[in-house]
Amino acid sequence: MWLLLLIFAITLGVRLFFAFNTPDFTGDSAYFNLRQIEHITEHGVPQFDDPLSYGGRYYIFPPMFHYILAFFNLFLPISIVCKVIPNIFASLLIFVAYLIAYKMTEKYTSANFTAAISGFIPIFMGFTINSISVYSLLIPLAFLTVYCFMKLPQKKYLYLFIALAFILPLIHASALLIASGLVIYLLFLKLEELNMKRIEIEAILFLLFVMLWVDFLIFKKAFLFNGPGIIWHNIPQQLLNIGAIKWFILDVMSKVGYIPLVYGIFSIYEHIFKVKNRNIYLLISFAFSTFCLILFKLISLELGLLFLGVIMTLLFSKGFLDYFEWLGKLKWPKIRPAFVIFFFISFLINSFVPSVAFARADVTETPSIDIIEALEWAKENTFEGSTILASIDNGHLISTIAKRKNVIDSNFLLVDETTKRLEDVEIIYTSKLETEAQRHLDEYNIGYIFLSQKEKEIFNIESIGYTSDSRCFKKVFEQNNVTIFRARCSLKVK
Amino acid sequence: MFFSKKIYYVSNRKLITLLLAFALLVLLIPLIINSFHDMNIITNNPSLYHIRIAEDILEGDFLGGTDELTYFKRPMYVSFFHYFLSGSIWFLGNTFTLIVFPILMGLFSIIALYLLLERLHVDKKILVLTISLLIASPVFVFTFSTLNAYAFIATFLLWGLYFYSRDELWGLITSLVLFVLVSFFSRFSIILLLAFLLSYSLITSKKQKWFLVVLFTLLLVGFKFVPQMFFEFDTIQETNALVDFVSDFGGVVGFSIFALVLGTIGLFTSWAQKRQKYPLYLLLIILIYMAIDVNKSFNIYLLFLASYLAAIGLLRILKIKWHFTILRDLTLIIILCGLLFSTVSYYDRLAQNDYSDEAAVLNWLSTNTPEDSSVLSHYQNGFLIQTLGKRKAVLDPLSAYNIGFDQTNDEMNQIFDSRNLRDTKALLKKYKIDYIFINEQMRRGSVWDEDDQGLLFLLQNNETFKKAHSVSGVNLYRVVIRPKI
Repeated sequence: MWLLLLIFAITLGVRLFFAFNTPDFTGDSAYFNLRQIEHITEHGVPQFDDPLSYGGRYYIFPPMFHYILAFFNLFLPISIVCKVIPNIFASLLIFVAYLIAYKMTEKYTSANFTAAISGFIPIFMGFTINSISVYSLLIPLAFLTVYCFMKLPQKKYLYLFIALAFILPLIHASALLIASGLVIYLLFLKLEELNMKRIEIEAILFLLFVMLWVDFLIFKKAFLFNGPGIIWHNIPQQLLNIGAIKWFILDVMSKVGYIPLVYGIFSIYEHIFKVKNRNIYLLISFAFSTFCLILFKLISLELGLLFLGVIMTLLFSKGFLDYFEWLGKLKWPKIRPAFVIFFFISFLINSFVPSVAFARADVTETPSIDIIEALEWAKENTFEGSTILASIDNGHLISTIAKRKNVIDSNFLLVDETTKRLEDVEIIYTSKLETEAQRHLDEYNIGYIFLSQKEKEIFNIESIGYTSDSRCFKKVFEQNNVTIFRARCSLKVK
Repeated sequence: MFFSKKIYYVSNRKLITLLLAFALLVLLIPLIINSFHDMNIITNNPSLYHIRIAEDILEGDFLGGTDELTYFKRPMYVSFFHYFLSGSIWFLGNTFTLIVFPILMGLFSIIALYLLLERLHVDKKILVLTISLLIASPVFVFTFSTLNAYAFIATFLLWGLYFYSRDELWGLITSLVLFVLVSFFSRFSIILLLAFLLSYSLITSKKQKWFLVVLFTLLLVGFKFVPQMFFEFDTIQETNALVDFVSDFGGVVGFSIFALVLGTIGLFTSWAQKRQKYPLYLLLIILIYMAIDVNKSFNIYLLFLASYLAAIGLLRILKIKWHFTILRDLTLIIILCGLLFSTVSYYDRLAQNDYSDEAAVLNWLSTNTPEDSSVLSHYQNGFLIQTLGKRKAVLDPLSAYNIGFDQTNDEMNQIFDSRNLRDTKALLKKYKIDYIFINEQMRRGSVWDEDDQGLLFLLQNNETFKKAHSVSGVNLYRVVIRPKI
């Protein structure tokens, strides 16, 4: 227990060290979450009716994570809450990983080692350190559900399982991944001709219906508005394609961790073709379900890799055990320490080092001080109620820091024609014709254009061509790499 | 009740009465909602078309000549249903036909289905669950709470099948008469009928000769007399198969997602008896194909099969000897809530289809404008203009079947989008448009998103467009185009 607490303290310490390296947060959606938490603290409810996003729209999202953080915000400052609490949640994965690994191997060493690795899964570190990410709570709870499922029919785990079945869809819509994984698990049992325990069928049926129902309750409006598009979160076609391009095996290996991934794949092979083990099948089912969902773009690549990373780490607990059993059988016991040292060094190189690298990268990806200063300037010096155009990656920043309307951000549900909107934004930034751009500026009632390094990189531009020589665009802010233009003309007949 | 054998001792009469009471309650709810909100009793667009055609027949146009209230002067799409409807209107009046008739059809179809399933020796638990799930589905609410031909086809089909299942000669003859009546509705209904009959004959392995008699009669009579085209729901709007299938995604005749999950469980459960049940799977495949590829109204008939499979699935869940009663109870509560949730949210959507304000403006149009006036509006308002306004609509939901539709549709969109008065006037003149009818739905997304977009901007020109009548956001403009001097 003390060892586990020490691992937890180290993991949390490393996380907090990186998180407090910067006063800002990483990623546009962090600022969306920040705004929702602030709104709940002030008004008691999330801001579903948002006058700033997309120039005014209605949001749908499961709000439990925001409520939990808002609760802590009642007695702690928001910056501390958003830095510390998600990292505590994420570090709790260690305990869940320990429990699952112990259940599978019944060896403390293996369970402790798995717990240590789970604290340093590169992608999990990268996405949950400084992003106020809902995944920091979703992932530990999702795997706690898996653990409860393994422990059925013990009553206390049953009650926890029932509670989690209701809680998970209130945290994130992708909790349905758990249900789909469990359904695949049943198919696996059938294929392997293992008997299906009644309690397992009951639990799966229950979980499936609860999650479907809660998701339908929350996303009812989105189902009616976006129809089947909701399955892909109404993400514009262009962004769905980018997700596919990024799918490189080396990328996956570095994000998940080389050793867990390689051993995880080996373990899947071994248990499908040689050894039958229910608990391993359960994890393999989740891996398979996640893989399919990524393949069909039903969940984001990041979330899929987060799940895969944890699953592979858990499968690795068995590998750890096998490895040390193999060491015990070595003919030359003297070389055993060398293998042990080699094992730990390779873990350090392949899991710990990439995790630290991801954590560092995550922290450095916070919006630059130039962007923050420009947006704070915009808050003071632009017309209240005006719309500022920025790329999709800066959308939530516009509404959170500058408190102005944005044209597009990363929350696409209940938005009409997202693909067209994204195209139009690109046209405004890249067009050579002023009238063409002006038509779209009129369409979205845009008063200001925000141009930072991010927009330059996304649209591959150095400047906005038509603004240089035009009376219709006035440079109202310019500092380092950020420029804000005011659009002064309109094609509309007044 | 479903956990015990008590249900087997309840008399058929009692069960039918209970099921009918449940169906009546489900079908009356939309009417109650409408009357609470002071809404129009017609909440379904195609009902307006049926009423108009039935009234035309009553006025003596029995053979359905040219439809004078359409720009394309297309032939009237008249089916047996409209003659039936006109007879009902003549005998019982408009309100009775609009409100009571669909409900009566719903109740009759429940009785027929009960009797039919009994004759097929379906287990009583499955029988009651099938009918209960059927009644609680959004498709049932749609079919039997609005005026449409499908309610009649379904009822006649079920009664026909029931009489067909009887061994007496009078039963078979009655079934033949009913099948011929069904075939008069449309050619699709003949395909549907044959699919059901084929499936029945394969399951029971009886009356193959009678099947051939019915087949030849239908081919002989049906294809000779049935109308050329069958009426659809949204004829121009392109829809997605998944949307049409799932009511929770917005499908007008879609199933609850929970019913679909239960149906899938039922399908897997029944797979053990695949040798006996293969005709059902065959019918299922035919109906799914027809619903996706031909006409989404086939979902209505698919409903009977889906409810049966969902009942098998639900019974399978009920039959599991659960380890923990809490898990069983919670699962059943969630299933019940999920099924109800879909139907309740469907009620909510039905309630949004009120056009009392539109009716007020169009009643004014019918009494205060020349009879040959032509009205421009969104195609979805076409039937409203023709039935309530009694004036010609440039586009209506059936226009897509007319030659020259594409060009007309493009030019109407040009009128809606353009802010150039000269171009707009030229097009208005070309189509001899006298009035423009605009309602809230058009302003909120179906045509425009902003208040001064396209034609909405031009309507501020008082010289060309004069507001003729207006009721809470529904406006009628008169087009004044002075000839060039």
